[in-house]
Amino acid sequence: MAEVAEHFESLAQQVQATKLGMAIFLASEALIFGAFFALTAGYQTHYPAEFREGIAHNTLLLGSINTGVLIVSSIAIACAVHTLRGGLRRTTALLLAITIALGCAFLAIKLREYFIHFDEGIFPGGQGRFFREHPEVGLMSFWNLYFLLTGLHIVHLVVGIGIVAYLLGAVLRRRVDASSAHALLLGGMYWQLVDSMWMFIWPLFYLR
Amino acid sequence: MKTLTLTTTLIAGGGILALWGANWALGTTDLGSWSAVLAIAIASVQVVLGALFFMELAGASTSIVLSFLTGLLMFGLLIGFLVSDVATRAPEPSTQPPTHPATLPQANERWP
Repeated sequence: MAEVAEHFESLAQQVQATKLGMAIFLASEALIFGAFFALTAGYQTHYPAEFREGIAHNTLLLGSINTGVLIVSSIAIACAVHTLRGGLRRTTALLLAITIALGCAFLAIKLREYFIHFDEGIFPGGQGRFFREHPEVGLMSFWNLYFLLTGLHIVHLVVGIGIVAYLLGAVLRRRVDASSAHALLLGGMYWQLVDSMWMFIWPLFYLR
Repeated sequence: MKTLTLTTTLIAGGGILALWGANWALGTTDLGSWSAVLAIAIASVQVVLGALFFMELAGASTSIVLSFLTGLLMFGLLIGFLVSDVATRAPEPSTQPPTHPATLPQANERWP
């Protein structure tokens, strides 16, 4: 049963306050990514041909599969909130486990992409034989921004996996139940942010 | 405060997956400069659907919706100003110094 802190009049007020706090936090996180998206947009405007070349060289299939993986994981955790509200504890735990598994699958595919880039001599910071053969500044900017944004996304995803794993444990130990489903919703909101940021990273760096 | 249903969430999820497929198909066709615009537009619709139905903003209070909208506004201003700044810049000046031989007048040129 959810406990109401003494400075709140009711559970509903407490839930509203926690949601507002999470919304403000997510807005600030979106602005962090937004700064890098703005930088990418600026460089893309300045070096359109080099960015098209960089996109053509990227791993479209793996990046697109990763996008689908993340979308399905978002659906899973969103459904977990509903099943928890309905009192279906085991179904909720299963959906959270699926979310974690899909998050780990995303990481594995992303690592595979990185190793493909490294094999081709594409390293962060414009290092590697690829940049000795293609010394264009725009191309170097593309790949630097790619590693920067995807690396930042990976950090957020790992944190998200940790949060969902904690919530899975809480659901299994019955510390989070139907009356405190908002706790799961807050974790789900963070996961949706991670998914939402990838929704913009994917077209910027993979799609023509 | 309205609580969304599981069915609504699943329908929204199906819509986001459909848009993913559409964006992928769009990425394989060359529409020139419109490709990027359409891709970002589709991504924006996906994010809005996720915010409305997965983050349950559709049934949230005004203060929470306002927080998100303010963040979006700030984001839009950032992108808009930066892109317009870069797109409206004058061409870079010549990198050759004034004493470069190519810029010096030839011996047989007549000066006014």
